[in-house]
Amino acid sequence: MTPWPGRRLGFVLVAVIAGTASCSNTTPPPSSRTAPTPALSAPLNNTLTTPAGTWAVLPMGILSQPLNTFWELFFRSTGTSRWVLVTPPGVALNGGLTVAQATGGPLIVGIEPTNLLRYSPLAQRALAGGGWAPPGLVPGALAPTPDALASSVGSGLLAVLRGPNGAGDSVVRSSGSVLAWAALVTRQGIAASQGATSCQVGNVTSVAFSAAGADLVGTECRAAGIVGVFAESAAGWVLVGPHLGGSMTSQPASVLRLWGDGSAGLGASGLVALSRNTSRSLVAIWQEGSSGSWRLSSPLAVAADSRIVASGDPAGGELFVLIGSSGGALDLETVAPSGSWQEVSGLPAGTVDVSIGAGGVVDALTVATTIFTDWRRNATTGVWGKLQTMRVPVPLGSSS
Amino acid sequence: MTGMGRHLQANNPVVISAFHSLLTHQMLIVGVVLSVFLLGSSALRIMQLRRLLNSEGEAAAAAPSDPEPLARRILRVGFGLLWVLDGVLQIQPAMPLGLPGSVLQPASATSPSWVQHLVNFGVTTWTNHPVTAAVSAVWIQLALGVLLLVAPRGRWSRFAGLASLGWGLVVWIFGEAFGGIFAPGLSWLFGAPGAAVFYCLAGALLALPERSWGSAAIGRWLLRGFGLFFVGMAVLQAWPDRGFWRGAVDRHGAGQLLGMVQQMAQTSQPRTISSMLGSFGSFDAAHGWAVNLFVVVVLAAIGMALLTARPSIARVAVIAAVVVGLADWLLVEDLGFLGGVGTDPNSMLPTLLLLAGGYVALVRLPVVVTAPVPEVSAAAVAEADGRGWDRVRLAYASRVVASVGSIGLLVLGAAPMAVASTNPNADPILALAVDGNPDIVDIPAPGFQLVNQNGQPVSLASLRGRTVALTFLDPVCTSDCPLIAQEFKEADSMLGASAGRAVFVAVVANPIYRATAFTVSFDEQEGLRHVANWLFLTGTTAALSRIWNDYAVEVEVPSAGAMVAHSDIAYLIDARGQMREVLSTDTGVGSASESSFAVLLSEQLQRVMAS
Repeated sequence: MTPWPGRRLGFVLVAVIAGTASCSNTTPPPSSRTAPTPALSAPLNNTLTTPAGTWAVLPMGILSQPLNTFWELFFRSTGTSRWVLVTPPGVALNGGLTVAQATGGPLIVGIEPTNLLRYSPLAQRALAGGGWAPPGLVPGALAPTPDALASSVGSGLLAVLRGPNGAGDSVVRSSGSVLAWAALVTRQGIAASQGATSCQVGNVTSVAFSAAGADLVGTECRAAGIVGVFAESAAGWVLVGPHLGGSMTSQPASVLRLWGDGSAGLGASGLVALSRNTSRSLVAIWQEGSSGSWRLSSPLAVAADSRIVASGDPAGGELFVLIGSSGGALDLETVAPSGSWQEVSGLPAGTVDVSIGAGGVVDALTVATTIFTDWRRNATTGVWGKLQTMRVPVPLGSSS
Repeated sequence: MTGMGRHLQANNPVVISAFHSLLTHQMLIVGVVLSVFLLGSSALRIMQLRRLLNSEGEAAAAAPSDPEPLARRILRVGFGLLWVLDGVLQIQPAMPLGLPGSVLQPASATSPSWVQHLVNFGVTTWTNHPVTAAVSAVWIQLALGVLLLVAPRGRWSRFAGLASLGWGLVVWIFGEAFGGIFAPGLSWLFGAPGAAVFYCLAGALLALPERSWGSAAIGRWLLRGFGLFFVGMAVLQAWPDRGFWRGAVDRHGAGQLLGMVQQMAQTSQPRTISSMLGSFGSFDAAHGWAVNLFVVVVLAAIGMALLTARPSIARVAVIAAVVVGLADWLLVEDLGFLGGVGTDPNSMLPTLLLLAGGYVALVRLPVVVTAPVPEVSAAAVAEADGRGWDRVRLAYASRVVASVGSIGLLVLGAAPMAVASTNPNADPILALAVDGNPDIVDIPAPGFQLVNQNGQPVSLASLRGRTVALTFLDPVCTSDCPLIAQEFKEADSMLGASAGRAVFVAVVANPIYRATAFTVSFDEQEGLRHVANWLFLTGTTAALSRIWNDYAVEVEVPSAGAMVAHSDIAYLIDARGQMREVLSTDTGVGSASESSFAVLLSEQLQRVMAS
């Protein structure tokens, strides 16, 4: 009889099989590491208030599908309560819109390129009620930030272009033509400028004009306690952003928004995100038109699971931020140069943008695929009432 | 219209027609060659019969000395038949377009990225050359099958084993993504480690020298190898948290086995089989834990029994494996070849063939028969030497002929596939399948006066003397137009030295974004700025409207937010200004059809230039 070499092995294997079959599930111990809190960023949802009226930029369609998300532009004339759809035609708007309008100047609409397009067309509209003027373009792709475009009647146009990593990397300038641009400065150029070492410049986020018409560039600062606002002067680029004090000294800051069209007497203003470890907050900044010095708001703490849904400058120096939590709650925070943050909570579900009109009248703009609705808040009762509903011809499927 | 690219369905009639047409043509050629060989064989036979009648008794000298070992014959004939079946399955109409998306990509979907990357090479080759690849697969597999069937002994037979091993490896890597051994959910029930690996194993065994089959060692090692394999599969089947102990759908989803059965039940198949699958699925849903316990115990028991390599125990194990294997083949693997893109009957039949071969190799050793050597007179030798062909046995001659023919078939299949795998450009049949055949015309092309990207005036008359490929593009288009521009650029490079006789012209198809700044930016974006024979023309709205109208190009500005919709069309205009061809430039989807249009465009341009 030949020996059975597999006998012993067989018993072992039976034991292994029996053991594995009866094993209970084991759950790995929870990781002791905490995931880093994502930095705050400003989406392109935006309202821009001018003397002629308010422009609102918001996404519609199927927001979970990039090629079925279409950015729309609405306008409401001053003194009226009706929004009108004024989205520029002739180009796919899946990537987003950036708007800029100087007082008395045309509206410039920057189009974020998507899919296979690699540069940004520009649409321009002379007057709110008029048609579209011949379009232009920037020599590259606009950075995906709401203030990647700036316009000034006296100083021309500024635009932030994307770098290889997709974030803002350089600034171009036009004397006013939407077709002729010249390189102004790059991130490296700003990083080498006067005072920039204290900032440790990161991505370029925004452009604007100072009250004196000087070019302003907002950046991220990797160093703590400095707000990266740089101005062009005869001596080159200079760090003019404010130093943060108090508890904010130890937190790196990123300029999310920067407003200013060079109008005489109106200084620039901005919204700055501070972050360190899991702590995140927002600070509003205002530049004095005459002295160039800065006023800062108190910091507004933002929960780790919250994000900015929309932001805007309702004019008069006041600005707002719409903050959404992971649970779906939406809180509107407003702040004026001399005031503190004021909260309006309980905005309608689906709010993607906000408009604040004269007298502090708050409108919440909601979208549901192709339906745009304007909800107005009763200042006395705090109840939201439907003011306007519009079915928007969102061209679903046209980009795929 | 741009942005409306059509998907190429597996049942695309253009591709199926081309597939069957090529197959039929090659089959005719093979038929003719085979007929010649058969005629030759028949002539040989007639002459031999005459000789036999003239010299009685000589034929007896050709008795076989030792027959092929039975175990080897089982493997050779069994896998020969399997390869023939696989070759026949490759003839299914959905194979050219359906195989990559329905078989190759799903096979690697859950594997690591390096496996997907490797498989993607095969997917790209097949996708770019669907007809060539599908026809090649037919011939290679038929040839392997026939070669195994007709060559029982000697170098032809061993070569067949080696070729079977080689092609099996190709199928295992590119077709089965290594049988899913790097992916989760590996199970013997589902065909792990891939049917092709068993073809490889059988091929390797058949390629062994004949003396290897002279002892029981080969059978012993084969059975022990399978024993280890079954035990390993049992352990894997028993491993917790892999979804095999679960039957019905719960918060984790359906159990692995139930999920597979449900998936297979959706395959197009006879109602009897689908109802059997449904019944088994219901049973597993209710008794998932017990079903898996049974599988684990049976696999382990078979494995351990095979490890003994003792004939009496191995026989029981092989019978058990046959019963369980056939049940799995029917109830879980769903026979493997149903549904229109089934390429083989999956793993159970090859597994069982190998087990049967192994068992027979263990218990039935070949018997060497010593044939008496007839005495032959010197005169007969001298006479026979003068007619060497007359001493060749008919059966042997037929086998040689069939073997040579099979190798010819193998080359017929392998050579085009090898060439296709090195050709980065897709077959123009894809463009034809998407866009249809070009319309042939011969009418004067409407003239135009526009400006190029440098602001210089360009008219059709100014291009006289060169063949013009004219299309219409939107410079701010986000989807099709950049692809079409790339295809034009690719076609330009394909023209080689002839490119100087052609000019590629695009006309702006957007009434709003039409300034030269846009054509310049588009050219820079697409790398066309410095292409000497590329022109992107624009003009006033009136001038553009005129040329759109003259060339029947629809341009529509739809609701805001959408890009401009325009006809995807191209015109080929010869050197005399005559419009010769009208092509649709709808790019369809995927990179294959992109470059396939470039191939088609360059071919048509050369045709127009030559005429």
